[in-house]
This record gives sequence, C-alpha cells and structure tokens, in this order.
Amino acid sequence: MFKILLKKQFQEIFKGYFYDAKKNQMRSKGSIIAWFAFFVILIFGVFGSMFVSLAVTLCWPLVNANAGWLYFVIMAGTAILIGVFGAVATGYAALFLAKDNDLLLSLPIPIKDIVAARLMSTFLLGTLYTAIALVPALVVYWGTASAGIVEVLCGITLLIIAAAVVLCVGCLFSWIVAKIALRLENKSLLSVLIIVAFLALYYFVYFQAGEAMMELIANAAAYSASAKDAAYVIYLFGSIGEGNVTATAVFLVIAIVLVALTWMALSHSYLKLVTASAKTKRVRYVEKTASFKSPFSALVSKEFAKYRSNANYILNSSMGSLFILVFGVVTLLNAQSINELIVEIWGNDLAFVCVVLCGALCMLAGTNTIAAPSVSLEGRSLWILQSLPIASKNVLRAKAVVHLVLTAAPLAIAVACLAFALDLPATPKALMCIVPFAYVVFTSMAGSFLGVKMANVSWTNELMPLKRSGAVIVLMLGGWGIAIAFILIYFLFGSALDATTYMAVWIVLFLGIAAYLLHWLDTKGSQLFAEL
Amino acid sequence: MLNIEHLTKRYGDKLAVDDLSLHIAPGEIYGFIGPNGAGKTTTIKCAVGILQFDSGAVFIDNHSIAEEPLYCKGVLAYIPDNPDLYEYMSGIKYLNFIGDIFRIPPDERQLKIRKLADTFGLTKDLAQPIASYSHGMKQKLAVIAAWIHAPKLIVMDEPFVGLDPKASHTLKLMMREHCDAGGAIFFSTHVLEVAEKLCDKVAIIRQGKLVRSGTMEEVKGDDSLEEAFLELEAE
Repeated sequence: MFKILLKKQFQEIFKGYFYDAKKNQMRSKGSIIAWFAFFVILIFGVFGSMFVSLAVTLCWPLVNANAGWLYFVIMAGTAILIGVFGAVATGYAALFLAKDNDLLLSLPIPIKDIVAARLMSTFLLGTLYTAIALVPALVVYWGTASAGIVEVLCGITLLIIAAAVVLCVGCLFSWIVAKIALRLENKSLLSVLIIVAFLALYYFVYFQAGEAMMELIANAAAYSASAKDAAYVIYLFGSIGEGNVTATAVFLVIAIVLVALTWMALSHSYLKLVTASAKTKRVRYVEKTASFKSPFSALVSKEFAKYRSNANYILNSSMGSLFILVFGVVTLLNAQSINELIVEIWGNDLAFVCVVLCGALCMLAGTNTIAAPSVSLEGRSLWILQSLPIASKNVLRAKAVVHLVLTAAPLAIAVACLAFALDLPATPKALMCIVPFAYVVFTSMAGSFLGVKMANVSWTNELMPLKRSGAVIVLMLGGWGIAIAFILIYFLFGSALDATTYMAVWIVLFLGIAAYLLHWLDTKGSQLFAEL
Repeated sequence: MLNIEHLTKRYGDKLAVDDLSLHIAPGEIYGFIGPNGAGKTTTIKCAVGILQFDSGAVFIDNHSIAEEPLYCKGVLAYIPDNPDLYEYMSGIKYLNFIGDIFRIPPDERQLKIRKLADTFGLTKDLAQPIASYSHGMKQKLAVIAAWIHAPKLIVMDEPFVGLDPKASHTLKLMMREHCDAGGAIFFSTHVLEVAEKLCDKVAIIRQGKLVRSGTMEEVKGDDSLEEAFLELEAE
C-alpha cells in the first residue's frame, strides 16, 4: 500500500516532467531527460552555486585549524535552516491541505500509510532543499581534505541526517500551524505575518553571520577548542562530515528514531486535523444595495480577493514588494552613510550608481510573480470565467493589473525614498526612478503571458502552480536575468552611451515588449485561455 | 434557441461526440440522457462555449457560439455538474460579481437576489464564505447566479444532484416558469423519472451518437422512459 501511495505522490510531484498536458500525451524519453536536467541545473547550478563561495571561504581555514567539524556544523546548520524554511512553507499545505485527503481517507488505507507517503515526499523535498547548501559543502571539503571513501560515505549520511532533522522540525511547525489554523478566523493575514517575521529573523541572522564568519576564520583554532568543550554533542554532529563512523552511527539512529516518532505522532492526530472544520464566525447577512462595477473592475476585484484570501499566494508570489519597501526605507534611514559610501566607491561616476540602483530595484521587483500562477490557480473554477460573457483578454489583463498594482505601489514608495535620500545627478536619477516602473509593466504582462502559455489547471495541491510551475520559475529567473543584464551591459559597453540615454533605451525596450505581450494576450493568449 | 448541428468532438483518438444534432426551441425543457461517458457533459460544454469542438456548429438565439461567443454567453446561463465556485468569496459577493459581469443594475439585482435566495432558503447564509457551504448550498447558489440575469437559455449538467427534495421541487417549478415565459432549458440527468415528468422533449445519447430524440411520446412510445432507455442500451 505504501508503495502505491508513494508512486502516486511522485506522479503528482513530477507529473509535468513525464506528461505534456497541452498535447495530452506522455513526453518522449529525450524530453523527460531534458526536463530533469533543467531541474538539476536550476537547483544545483543556480541556487547551489551560491553556497559554493561560502564553502570555499570557510573550508580551508577551518580544516587547516583542525576544525573541520566546525565547518560541517556551520554548513549543515545553514542547510537545515534553509530546509526548515522550505519545509515550513510547503509542509502544511502538502501534509494537511492536499485535495485528495478526503479520497484517501475514505479508502481502506491505514492512516499511517497515508502519513508515511506524505512524509516521504516531504522528506525528499527537504533533502532537495538541504542538498542545495550541503552538497557544495561536502564537495568542497572532499576536495580540500583529500577525503577517502569513509569520509564520503559519512558525508552522504550527514545529508540524510540533516534532511531527517528538516523533516521533523518542518512537521512540528506544520502541525503547530494546522492546530492554530483550526482556531483562527483570519488565517491568511496571520500566516503571512508569521512567515514574514520568520523571514526577517532569517535575514537578520544571515547578515549578522557575515561578520561572525570573519571573526571565526581569524580565530578558528581558539573557537574550535572552546566550542568543542562547551558543546560536545554539536562537535560529534560536525565530526560526521570528517568521517567519524561512531558519531555517524549514533546520529543516524537518533534521526531514524526522531522520524519514527514524528510518523507515529502525526498518524495519531492526522485524521482529527485534516477532517476538523476551522472555526468560522457566523456572519449575519445584512441586505444592502451593492455598488455597480464595470465587468473589468469586477474581474480585477475578484483577482484581488483571490490574492488577499490566500497566504500561500501572497508569500510565494509577492515577497518582492516587501523587499522593495525595505530597500527604500533602509536607504532613507541610512541616507548619509550610503551617500558617503557611494562617493567612496564610485567617486564621480554617479550615473553608474543610478544604473546599479535601478537594476537592483528591477531585480527586487522581479521577485514578484503574482500574474504567473494566476491562470493555473483558477483550477476547477475555470468554468466560471469561460462560461461568462467576458472577453478572455480582459481576464488576462485583470491578472496583469493585480501584478502591476501590487508591485508598482511599494515601488513608488521606494523610488520616492531613493530620490529623496540619494545625492545623485538629476537626469539619470529621474530615469532611475522611471525604468523600474517600465520593468514592472513588462513583468506583469510577461507574467500573464507565461501564466496562460504554461497553465496547469488540474493540480491537487495549490503549491504546484505557486512554487513548481514553469511559469513562475521562468518569470522569476528571467526577470532577475534581465535585471542583471541591465547592469552588466552598461558596465561592459556603457562608454558608448551616457547613462540617461542608456536607461531611456531600456524604458522604450520594456514598454515595447510589454505592448507586444499585451497584443499577444489580447489575441493568441485569449484563444489559448478559451481552449484551456 | 439552441441549435446544435453536426457537432463532433474528439479527445485525441477518442470520438467523444459524433455528428450530433439537436434543436431546442423557446418554451421547451429539453432533457439529455445517456449512460456514463456517453458524451453528455462534453456536448454541454461545447454548447456553452467552454470547450472547443472539431466540427459542426452551435447556434444560440441564432448566433454562432464560435463566432459570437460573448453574445451567446450573454443570453445563456450554465450550471456544471460540480459547481466549483470561488471559495474565497462569500455567497453575496459571488452573486454581485455575476451581477457586475452581466451589468445588472444594483436595485434590480438586489430584488432578484432577495427573491431567489428566499426561495431557496439561502438568505441567512449569503454573507458566509462559499468555502463553508455544503455541496447543496453551492448548487443553490449556482442556480441563483444562473437565474439572476434572466437568461434566454439555461444549460444545466445534472442540476438535481445534491439538492434537497424541497430545493429540487423549487427548481423544477422555476424551470417550467422560465420556459412558460419563452425561455428554453437544456439539461442532462440520470434521473429518468424526473426527465419523464419534466421534459417536453428528450434526447438519448450513447457513445457520442444521438440514438433517439423527440417529444416524450416519440421517444418512449407506450413504454416508460426507463424501459425505452434500457431497451436502447441493450441494442
């Protein structure tokens, strides 16, 4: 039974890799390999590479100071932190909100098997998150310390142990969220606030960690000795990566016991949690005359209502808005020191600073993907929009408008902060303020374009369109790529154009492509939407 | 009111609807019956313009659904077999959304919502989120949303599933009233007794093909509709 359930879980997770929904047929072997290769390159090539530099910075000084264990504590700790962050964001929905919970619970399947299958898929996702940081750490260590077979095997076991810790902690958080959710009335707002607080803490630790790392590298031997004496268990945990077989065996047993306990505890309360009805306050209906909206306004309002009601949607698709705000406010609060820093680094080339800041704003705005999953999120309600007398182009435009408004509003505040705080030449500064808006117009259209082009309305877990859809990944990575290219091209070829002209060209480019995409949405996009 | 002419729809190699023609006139309640997988839902979805078809034509109020979809959708209402509505809205917000789309003036909308919600006993639940509704309540809300804009044609897929006996009875009365006022109704059902008592005309579909259609007497002859249906099934 467990095997059948696990197969179902994997079919669901990797459905898009094996099955082409548009052609209604299985993909060819070549296509499947290409999709998986893309996935591996994306995960380890793009995200994993970020941890290579951290591993390279830490590995040699710590190994040289005979503190390899400390290196693994830091890297495994980072990996676990990332894994837990990912597991908390996905675990609750995957464990407790899966659409097929009712179906599976109605079948003669032991609850412990359902939970085991769900845990296994959560474990594999946790392993993936953990591996992003830990695999580069292991590879760098193996190369630096000329590791043998024992170190390699222990290192792989460390990855499994870290993933098990992620699973247990992620499940604990998910369980707490599920318990709280049953008592809450405004779940989406509180969920967003909790996750944002968690994120703020994460970044606070991340930024503080830089200084701590430097201090640690400078005094590696002393810190290693005192830490080993003060926390011997942590020393043992870190020594797994160095090839300590006894520590590996002990921690592996502990990890297995922890997973077993998690499995038993969840199995015990699973039925109650997934079948209980959340507390809903009885709202008394008071008849009143509604204000009249145009059909397009009604569509936009509907999109905003969908956005507001869904914490997962808010968290997964619009963190860029928060980053933009923080960027603007932090710049305003530290205006003097930032102005001094700018002069110190770039001297008189302040126009280049405008380009860099503009690119940074675009990059933050590119983190927003609100329009991309919007078509897929219609899911089984798609029939409503398709059967009403609404032009499909208005549906797609409404989705782009929500993306535009929710990104442009914080951007306006951030741009005002930057304009007020920074001493930069007037004309390039003005362009620096305009380009990000043109970029947001472009990404909102691109989001709707990708959303309808790569739509998947037959999901069973809403995290699939929100996190794992091609539309979201392409929009975010593509958006970042364009923002980086914007800075890089000026850096390489800026001498041919002054910054003002350069940015003006990009405004025309962004708005030109946005106009083309709007035309596409109005014609081919509408046709595709009607055929979904 | 609804003319389906030589409709053909394939899913890959599978022929779901095969050269099907039906004509539903104003004032008619037209039943559509057939075994599971016969092509009823596919035909209905093609008729209301949410599924593209391979060949044939569908005309609503003498306008082609393929060429003038907005006009056609403006004069019809569709209720699917499983009304997945916007769970993030309350009942009243959903009805107001539909009202806005059909440009129903607020005062007129308010009167209609009051009348229809009272009829189905849903008034006190209108402020509740749709996510908290039972299947039957969602079905009632979908019926209210369909009737609110006074469509000429109402197309329903298994409309009585999930409705309690009182609501079923109310819906039957509303269907008759709608057709008496010059509208038309096309609906699928598995409940042959309902079809026999309610429908002016009926069509039987099997494996995507129309096997019999016409007035109730023409289709069932001296038998009951159930006997006629089973007889056709056995052929």
